[in-house]
Amino acid sequence: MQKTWYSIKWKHRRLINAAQLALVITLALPNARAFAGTPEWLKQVAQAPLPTFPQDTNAVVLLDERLTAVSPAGEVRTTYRKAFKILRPEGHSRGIVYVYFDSDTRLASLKAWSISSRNEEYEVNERDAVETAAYSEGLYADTRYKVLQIPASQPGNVIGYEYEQRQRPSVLQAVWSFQDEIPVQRARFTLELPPTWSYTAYWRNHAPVSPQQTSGNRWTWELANIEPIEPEPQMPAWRSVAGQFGLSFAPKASTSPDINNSTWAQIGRWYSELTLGRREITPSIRDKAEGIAGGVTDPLIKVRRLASYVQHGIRYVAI
Amino acid sequence: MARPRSLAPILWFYICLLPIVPELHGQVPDSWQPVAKDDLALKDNPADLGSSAMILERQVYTDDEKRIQTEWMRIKVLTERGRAYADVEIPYVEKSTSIEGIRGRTVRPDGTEIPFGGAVFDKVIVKYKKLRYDAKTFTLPGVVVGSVIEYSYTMRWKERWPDYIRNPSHYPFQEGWTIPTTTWTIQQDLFTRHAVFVIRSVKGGQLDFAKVRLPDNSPFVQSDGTIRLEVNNIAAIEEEAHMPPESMLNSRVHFYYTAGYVGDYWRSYSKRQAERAEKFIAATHFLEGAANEIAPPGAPPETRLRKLYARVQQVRYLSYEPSKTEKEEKREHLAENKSAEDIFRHNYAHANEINFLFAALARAAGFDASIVEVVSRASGVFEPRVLDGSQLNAMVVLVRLKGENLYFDPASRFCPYGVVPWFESDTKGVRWATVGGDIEEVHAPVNESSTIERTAELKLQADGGLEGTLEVVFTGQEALDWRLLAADEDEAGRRKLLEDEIREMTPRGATIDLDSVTGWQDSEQPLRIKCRFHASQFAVLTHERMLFPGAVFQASRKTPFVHSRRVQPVYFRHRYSELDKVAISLPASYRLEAMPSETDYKTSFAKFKVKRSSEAGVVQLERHAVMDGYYFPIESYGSLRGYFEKLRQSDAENVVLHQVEASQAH
Repeated sequence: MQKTWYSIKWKHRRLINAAQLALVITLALPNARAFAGTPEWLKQVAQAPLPTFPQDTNAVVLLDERLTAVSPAGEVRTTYRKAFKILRPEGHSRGIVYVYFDSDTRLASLKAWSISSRNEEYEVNERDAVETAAYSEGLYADTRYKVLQIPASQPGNVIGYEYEQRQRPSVLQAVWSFQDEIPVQRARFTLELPPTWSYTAYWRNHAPVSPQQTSGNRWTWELANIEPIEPEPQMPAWRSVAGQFGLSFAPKASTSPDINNSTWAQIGRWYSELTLGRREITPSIRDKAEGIAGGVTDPLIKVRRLASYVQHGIRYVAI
Repeated sequence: MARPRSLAPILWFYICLLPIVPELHGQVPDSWQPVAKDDLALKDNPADLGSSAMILERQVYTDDEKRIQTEWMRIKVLTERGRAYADVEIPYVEKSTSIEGIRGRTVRPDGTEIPFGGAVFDKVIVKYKKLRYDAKTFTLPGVVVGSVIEYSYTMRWKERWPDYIRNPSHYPFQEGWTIPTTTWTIQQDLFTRHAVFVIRSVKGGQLDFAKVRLPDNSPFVQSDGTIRLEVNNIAAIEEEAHMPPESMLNSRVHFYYTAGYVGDYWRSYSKRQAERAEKFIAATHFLEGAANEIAPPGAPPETRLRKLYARVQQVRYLSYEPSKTEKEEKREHLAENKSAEDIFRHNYAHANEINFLFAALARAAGFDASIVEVVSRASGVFEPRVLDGSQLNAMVVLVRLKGENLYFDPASRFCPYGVVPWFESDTKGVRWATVGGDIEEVHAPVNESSTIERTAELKLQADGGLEGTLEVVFTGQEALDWRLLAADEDEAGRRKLLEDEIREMTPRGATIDLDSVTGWQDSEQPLRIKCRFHASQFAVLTHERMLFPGAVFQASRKTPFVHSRRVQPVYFRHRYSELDKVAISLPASYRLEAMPSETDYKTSFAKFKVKRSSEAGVVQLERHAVMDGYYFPIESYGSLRGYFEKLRQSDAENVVLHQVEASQAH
């Protein structure tokens, strides 16, 4: 058989390419801690009884939970928790966690656990993750993923992860896509705002659900037994048919377009101010336009020439 | 006493000479060389019309003494798509290398020069703990179609050469060793008009090289001791379907330092590997007992060998299990196998450990068994002149029985007795022997038995629909492929895989109901699938007639090699055959009007035979196609394409039925 390179033992050598290297790092190296501190929330959902699912169900989401807490200064802390029960070998891919971060989105913590059908527990954390560029197409980007392989992501086992992101966003909104390609047993979104703040919410592809106000400015929306949406050929974009919950939040008295974008008009104003000055007609721009379409009186031809220049004369480089 | 002469005039003389002293051949100049007017005016590549860009000049200068390699690239942009070459990405491993001195410029078609003054970004490709794989990225400015872009950079290795490279004579080497340094790969993804490569050796080092697909007179050693290669008009490696691995196409020079005598490198390599493995695969007293119990000595040798083979395939294949984290493996408390005896006792093994166990048991039973390391045909071919053992990336067991060489690979799960995976046959490698083994050619019966057989009993309906039962039998390599593909699947996953495959074979839009699948686990048996299918729109209905293709299972298949132009050789994985036996009961309201002709077409590399008959309202269609070759040089492309075209035409011929009055219906 072909030899395995990644094992240093000479008996198992195998050739490997860069892509495989990344895969091997991702899949093979995390060093889970034994008998880990599996959190109570995961233990609880692991014990909950499950209905019978169709034979081709790869996995089931036991819990999809998000807690978004906003500080008076507009810093947003979001804790994500997700737990799965793996039902088929194809469900293995649910054990690979991709967590996004960039210069504006800080990853405060990342941990994952698994509970095997023999009650063995494993834990991995951020140090075990592989870091990769989020998008390989661009010339450069500071957007990254932490990729973490959860041990024992095998049929019959329960896996879960938790991470916290901190942001100070320009747009104070949260979008929660609670539906999946597999069944979701329970989904919960909690919003915690400063006392003087309020929110507006919308639901897409799902009937509105009223929140429970658990304390002064803390609300929880809870859903259960969410049907999966399986991808089918020639279907509309998956996200356009899946259930979604959106929130905009801001200080009640605020009129600042920076932080209160609950209407399109506000977003338009905010964006306009953000890009103020970028569309100014400088002398060099004026000269360029003159060079491209100077002397042309027909507006359509003028626009065509200008459009042709920006389409063909300017090379798009994604940075 | 003569007055000492001033050194100033002499120094001045040499300073004046400096500008006219030629640079070291191939060394990348510090300033850009002018771009020829003809190059600025170039509209297309005459040698490769329509290409997006071409490399006008490429220079690679490797200085092992300084541990640097400088590369200069000059590219002509010929189309809009070619402007993407202005985005440059230079990958490097941060721990061991650094990238320095990035320079670049764009010269527009009118001769205007735009120097690169933008930012160079450090892009993280992969980062894991202390390991980082990064890339320096930058984009050259103002690139339009017709521009010439160029850039250069230097890669510096952080680690120094070990002393035994610089001073090999200070070390008493028992055997010959090679330590690879750089490799010059000549072909790029663009046509190269001119390229120069130069390497300077470490002082005191014994630098040698091996070339692949290059003429005898290149590269050559220059008077200053550097080695130089100059090439012109090198075609790009274009991606094409069914092409050989890239390493079988590109020309290259492998450089390495030698220590000790390497004239008998492969024998030394064989001896070294055999000595390392000797203890592991020793035929111990325990293994002798086990071998004789599994395969009693009185039985015929082949029967014994089969039994030993079947036994080792019962060992747990750890390498085929879903990937596990280090902790999961630790949790299993799997002790390391330190010998073949350990494998037998533990009954689990990683990868080629199963081959070692088979070799050990065979030896213990009295067979002449040895290990052969080969080059996987999936990655390339064995290059004996390249003195680097890492090219041997697969392993088989050789057993000499009655003067015949038999090859086995029980470590490849589900691989039947006497068969090796396709990539381990028709290849070469090195046999391990403590006295120094030979280079072996491995020819094993992998291909001849690789067959897909389809037998169908079908009923054509008056509305053009087709339904009935189908049995598909995969043997040899075909069965092995499916077993490996489905090894990690559960029952539902295996069914889906096969349903998808049968859906590809059957007429478009067919529904498939799988009845049974046998032979998933028994590698000695074919993989047999029985199913029912229904294709609602198989036949075409006209006013009075119904037409359907004579090749039911090829009707929706895409024809390979539709293009008359081909750049690369054609490379199938292995030889194969397809046998279809189809019986179609005609609807009572139709009678047969025309049946396609029978065909018996043979070439030196492939053949197909088509028989079509009809009796008592049942049409019998039989098709047997055999591909008896797997490598076709570009010169053979026309013949190969012609064969597939002939086969396509035969498959497309229609059976024609004519509607009859109810009273005439059979």
